[in-house]
Amino acid sequence: MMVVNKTKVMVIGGGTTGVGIIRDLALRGIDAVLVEQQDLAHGASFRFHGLLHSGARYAVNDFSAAKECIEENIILKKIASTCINNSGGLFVQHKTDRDEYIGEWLRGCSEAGIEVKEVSIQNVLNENPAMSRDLKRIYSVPDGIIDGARLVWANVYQAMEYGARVLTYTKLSGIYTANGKVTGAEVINTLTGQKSNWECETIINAAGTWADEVAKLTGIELNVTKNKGTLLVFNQRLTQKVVNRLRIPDDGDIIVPHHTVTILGTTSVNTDEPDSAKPTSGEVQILLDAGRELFPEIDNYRLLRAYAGVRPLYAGNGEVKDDDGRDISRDFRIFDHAHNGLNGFISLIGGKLTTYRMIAEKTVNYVCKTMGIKKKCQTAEIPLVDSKRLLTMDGKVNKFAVRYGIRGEMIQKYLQQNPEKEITLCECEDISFAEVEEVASWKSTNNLDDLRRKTRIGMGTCQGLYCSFRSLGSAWNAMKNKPQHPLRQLVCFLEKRYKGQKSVLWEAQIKECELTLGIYSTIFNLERVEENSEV
Amino acid sequence: MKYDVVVIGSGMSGMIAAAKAVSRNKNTLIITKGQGILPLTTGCIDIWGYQVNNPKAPALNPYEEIQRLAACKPEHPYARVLDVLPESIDFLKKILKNSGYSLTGSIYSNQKVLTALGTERVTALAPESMVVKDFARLKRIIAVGFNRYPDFFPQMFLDNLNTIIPQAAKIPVLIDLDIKETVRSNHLSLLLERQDILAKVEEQIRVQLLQHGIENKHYDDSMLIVLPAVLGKNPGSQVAKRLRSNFNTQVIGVPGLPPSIPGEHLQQALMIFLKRQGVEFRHNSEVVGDIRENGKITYLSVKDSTAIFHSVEAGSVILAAGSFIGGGLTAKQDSMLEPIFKLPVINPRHVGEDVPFLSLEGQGFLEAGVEVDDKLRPLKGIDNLYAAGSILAHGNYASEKSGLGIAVATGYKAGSLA
Ligand SMILES: Cc1cc2nc3c(=O)[nH]c(=O)nc-3n(C[C@H](O)[C@H](O)[C@H](O)COP(=O)(O)OP(=O)(O)OC[C@H]3O[C@@H](n4cnc5c(N)ncnc54)[C@H](O)[C@@H]3O)c2cc1C
Repeated sequence: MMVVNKTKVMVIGGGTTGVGIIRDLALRGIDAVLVEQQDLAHGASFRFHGLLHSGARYAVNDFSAAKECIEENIILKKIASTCINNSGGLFVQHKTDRDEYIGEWLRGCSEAGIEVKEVSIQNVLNENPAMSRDLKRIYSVPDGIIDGARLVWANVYQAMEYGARVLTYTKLSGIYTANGKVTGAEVINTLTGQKSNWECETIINAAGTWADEVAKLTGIELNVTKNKGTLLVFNQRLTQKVVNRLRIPDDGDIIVPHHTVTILGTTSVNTDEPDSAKPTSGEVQILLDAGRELFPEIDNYRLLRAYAGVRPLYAGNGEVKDDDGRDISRDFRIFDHAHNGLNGFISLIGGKLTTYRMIAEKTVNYVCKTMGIKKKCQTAEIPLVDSKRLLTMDGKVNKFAVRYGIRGEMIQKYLQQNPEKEITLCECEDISFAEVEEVASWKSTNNLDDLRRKTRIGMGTCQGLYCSFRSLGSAWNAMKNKPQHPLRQLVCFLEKRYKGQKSVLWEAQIKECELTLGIYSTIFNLERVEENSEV
Repeated sequence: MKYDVVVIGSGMSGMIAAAKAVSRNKNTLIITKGQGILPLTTGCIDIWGYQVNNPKAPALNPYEEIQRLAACKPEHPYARVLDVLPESIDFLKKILKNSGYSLTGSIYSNQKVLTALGTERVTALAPESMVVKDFARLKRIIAVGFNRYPDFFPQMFLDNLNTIIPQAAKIPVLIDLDIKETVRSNHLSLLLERQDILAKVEEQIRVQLLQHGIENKHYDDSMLIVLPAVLGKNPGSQVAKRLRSNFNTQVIGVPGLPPSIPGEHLQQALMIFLKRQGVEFRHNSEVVGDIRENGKITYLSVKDSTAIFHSVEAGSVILAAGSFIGGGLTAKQDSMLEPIFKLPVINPRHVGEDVPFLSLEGQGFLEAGVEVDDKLRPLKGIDNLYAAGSILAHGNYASEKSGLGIAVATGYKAGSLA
């Protein structure tokens, strides 16, 4: 007999949109469960640029998006401060960029309420000596840098504290209906194959790039354009602030320093294969060409990896303008499938990371209305980590609360019990054994790759060379009881790290890759272990 | 002054080449930028790991496999050195012995060595401190970790060992040396040279084993005590031997993440030999170009650590600058180069290939390199240039398990001809 679980609302998809919704529901006290087919933030939310938009990028082409961005920018800096570096951003005009654009852009920014200030080129160059001397004008804007993975987990941990349930590696496999109304869902654990049933009144489809597949379970057609963006990761901080090109948005316009690396992006091309989106060497060249105009020495910086993310764009009503998708508004749409004859089924398409909270608010407002629930949204007031937990006794910011939201406490506790675990496991990102061992023991950590998204192991210069072995070894007792064999986890982890390096295998990076092979193939003989035993 | 032979690179291939050249009474100089890969290796000499016709099955006799390989892949570096292969390995063993270091094994058979991950690797020659007598007869395996040492995890090692040595009981032990910071391999290997520390380690092992009901009477040859490969800092170190005789059990140190102490032992032992034979060294110096006359290299241009340029007169030159890690090869966005002589670099397997990172066929870029004739000469038209080691094209040391074997054999031959 299959167990039947009960909830009011089921949210499909564990990207920022989905977790924003589950948090919103939880803070309103509405019983809800979120299901995600892989790990949280495995889709666009982790493979994105890390830019907290000020809205300035949209000031000319998409005024309402610009306005929403600046409003949310201000709110997120307040409630999600642990996930945001309030670095500020620059818009720079290269000598080849049109002057006429600037007037329009300034007007747009001012109308949207985005604070723009012209700054001295010399001052900027002094602070960022790597930048080109061929700049005509520079403006500062309130852009920020946001850690997508931390944001997702911080939302989820808080939602769980308020009673929400979150199931990762769980895929929606069927929707039950009766009399034109959703009554429940069947989900399947993608690691164990086990199925279970849920009773629920409403299903919110926030599956992003996969939203059309979810809708199809009920026979409803949904038009989602899938737009691939490629990004490059450099092994150092090229700037301290976000740098945007002051021109009509184009490829390779945005440079975001992120922790110890810098991300340059993006390209934009529609794709039919969201699951296997890979950067091409052509895209890598396009980005380098664009980046070179702002950073002339770009070819001499060490490129760590290239990766591609897929953005779901709304493509209804024949609004598509051209092939590269950039002219479609990335604003979101709520579809109530009551229009298709099915009550209690809502789909969301589009949306930006910067506006994820607002999208969640609007969606949950709508859902509350259809369900006759009267509860106010609180997501703009209640911070993700309250100040009591964020600050240590002596008033300093607690680094574990920054990294792990309200679960930072658990790391703190583990460290108190095991003081010898303070030593560094990952030198690139300065992550301790305590963090890795504690996070590995959480139920939501199913493998090394999940561990990476939560802790940032394997994200820095060495790309997992030392820290994959050390993480597996130090957290062995936890990792060996995960659904996937630990050596298989290691092989998959290394494979994924390699995938990002493959299109940039030159200079220092090919050495790093040879060294990784030397260790895991020559020393540990891992390719043969795989073949010879039933891992 | 003029040198008869100038070797570029002090990895395994360069050092063997120099050793052979000096044994022929050639006045020999090694110019080297860095240390090469040797200090990162396990310290085992891999010659040929798996069967040519069945790459899943370990090769029983590497020498026979290489003969088979040469017949079907005549461009492989080994095919160029078949004539000197066994002799080159004997030569290596002889010079190591001369420095008080020894490797067990031969080119005619392979052995299995355990790794810090708890996997096994197939190799021809291994340091004595890694050799286990008979996997099948082991009854107990004790894995010894150290507090605040980040590179060996006893429980992971033991659990993975279950597929290789299922019959043995497995017990993890954790040693606390009361150090309040991270302990690295180098530091630990120095500590273990100290009698008092070693005694403390022994004591803690015995106490913890007693808690598992293992008493002195159980200590015998069917028990294997496993530590990380940090058993003494010096090539001639007695740490492993001492532990063996004190415990009366088998004791090994298993290789893992670099830096590798056994790799450093091998390097130091070779270095001691070369210095004793009068080979000269220029460390931290990079060869950046050459001058040629009538089809011969006459001078090398060398940049030293203070960025001052010198020229060095050479009778013949051995290019043993390694692959990408060593710097013998470099990759640009759209091409691969050999930076000193601008030799053509071929990349035989490239073109859009998409193999998994860890796979039996191995990554194609490791097969890139310079091509040579049967006398290891890379360029038609330059008579006195030879190439050896991982700079050579067509070998794939990671998947073949052939790295130091190729370096020894090609280095030896280059040193005989130069
Ligand atoms: C992590 C790792 C572990 C390995 N483990 C093993 C193992 O256990 N057993 C095994 O058999 N094989 C192993 N291998 C493979 C093996 O180490 C290599 O195939 C072998 O060491 C190559 O030796 P080499 O002398 O050709 O090159 P290298 O060791 O790379 O030496 C090249 C030398 O040339 C110098 N050089 C380069 N350019 C210049 C220049 N312009 N001027 C002056 N000097 C220059 C470099 O500084 C260096 O000293 C391993 C490889 C790796 C990466």
